[in-house]
Amino acid sequence: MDRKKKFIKFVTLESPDSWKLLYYPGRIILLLITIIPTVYALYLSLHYYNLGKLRDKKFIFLQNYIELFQDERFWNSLKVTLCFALISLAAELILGMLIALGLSKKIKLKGVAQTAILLPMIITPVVVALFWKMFYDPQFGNLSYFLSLLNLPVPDMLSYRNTALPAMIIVDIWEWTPYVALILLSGLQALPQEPYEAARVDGASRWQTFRYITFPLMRSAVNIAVIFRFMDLFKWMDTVYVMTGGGPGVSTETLSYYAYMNNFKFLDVGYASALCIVMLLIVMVICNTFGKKILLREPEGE
Amino acid sequence: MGKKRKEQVLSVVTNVFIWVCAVICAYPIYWLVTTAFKTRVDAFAVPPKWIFTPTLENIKLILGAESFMRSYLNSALISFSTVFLALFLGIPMAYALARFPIPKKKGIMMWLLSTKMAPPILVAIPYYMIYKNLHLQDTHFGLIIVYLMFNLAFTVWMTKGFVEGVPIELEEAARIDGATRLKAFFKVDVPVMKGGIAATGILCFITVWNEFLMALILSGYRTKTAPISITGFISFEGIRWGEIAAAGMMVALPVIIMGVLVRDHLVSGLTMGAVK
Repeated sequence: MDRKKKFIKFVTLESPDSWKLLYYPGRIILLLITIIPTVYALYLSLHYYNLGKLRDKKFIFLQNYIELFQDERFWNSLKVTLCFALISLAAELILGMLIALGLSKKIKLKGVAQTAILLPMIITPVVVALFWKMFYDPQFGNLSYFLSLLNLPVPDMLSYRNTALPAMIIVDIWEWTPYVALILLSGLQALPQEPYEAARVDGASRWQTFRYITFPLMRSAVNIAVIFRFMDLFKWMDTVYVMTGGGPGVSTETLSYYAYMNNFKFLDVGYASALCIVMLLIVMVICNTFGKKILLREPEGE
Repeated sequence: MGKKRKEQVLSVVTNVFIWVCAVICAYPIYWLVTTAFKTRVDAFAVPPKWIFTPTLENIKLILGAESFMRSYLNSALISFSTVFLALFLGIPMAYALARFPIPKKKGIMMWLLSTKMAPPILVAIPYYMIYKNLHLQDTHFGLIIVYLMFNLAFTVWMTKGFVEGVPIELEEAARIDGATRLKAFFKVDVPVMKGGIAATGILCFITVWNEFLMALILSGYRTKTAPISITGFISFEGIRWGEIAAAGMMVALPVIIMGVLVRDHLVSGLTMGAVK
């Protein structure tokens, strides 16, 4: 009888231990579906494991990692990834800040404009990539038409080594600046009013107000935008797959895409896994140094 | 006088700038929708035909393309199942984390977050190998499990914030009136959090619906999702822009509608609640 009572208390959440009932099912499932693949990837990365030569599978300890660090194509993909991430991020921050500042002012039909501005980040990324592929088409694409109106030469952006990556960066800027802008906008709207009144009394110029009041107060919003965008940019791959396939040559081959190629084109599962583990380590270091501080900052009043 | 003039000029410049941005952001939608209703000749016309006689040819072709429609249903099935499971498992976890004294809470929250930060390709390769061995390749179940991994943590982060937003006094009042905690949760917390839960579900739906890499690697002939299916249109159909546009429009439509519905929660959702 007593046990039955205890059980009822437990399932109706009245017992102090009831959280276990709520918490563990999800936790265990999540643990299984995250830890197993990660450990398995680690295991694979320590083996020579080629799907084309299954019989040669053997434990080679760190050999894959050593090869990776001597692999020029790996360094190239790291360079492409960082180049892509940093340029896109910088542009998105600057443009995003301008848009956020604009949206904090009086705008005609602001609701409509703001809705239009958030479209790029919700449209299915594959559809976005397909649109841009057709937009860049040198023969029939809209870009060449718009440029010809201005008497500018018609480029075939995606077919040349020097222009393919910039073309992809433009797509990313188009797709994700709104996201940065909306984060910054919510930061702007949360700013206290007093410093502005003080600045007005002191006769500060518009630029001074921005430089010495708005910008420092916005730091945490900027940090959040940077960390979330960087994480996404770092693992970037969908657009590459649809638009260029890493080409021409390896000029748009990112880390993720190179790992994909290793696994599914060269069938070298061990090597691809080693590359993934290296990516994970980079992400973890960045996340631990910047992310932790920024994201676990408890909201006020707690 | 000069100052007022300057204000006016600045206001005009700001308006123009924001509206130019808005047009640039909306242009692809305009292009997809118009191209979807153009004949093949009109779609490739240079200069582009701004005024044209619309045709339903492309839409009919897409609606009649069995493999595309099946992938569309696959996407819907997988997205809804993932959302359901993520909410079903995630809301209790969030409630526990928000209301009970659980040891090492911060560590748990950080670990949850790290599951979102991991590069998808890292997970995709081992899953591919595991599914190959377990014969889970090309099953809806396999894809749902992977998507659950990306969305469960997100659901917990989001809904934890919503639970914390419900004043604990409300719950206590219900319990003083004789309700158990479980009953109080359904009678008090759920009605208050309704909007937040719906927004979380919709954001999960958008993520799953839009996902590409996992579906590319883990789905197959039977379970192909809509985003994968459109890329197939390029290789099979050559460059029939009209059909690609019609298919793209259909794939993007549900997420656009839902995204606009949860506009106010969008930023908070995409930053795991770091921005309110």
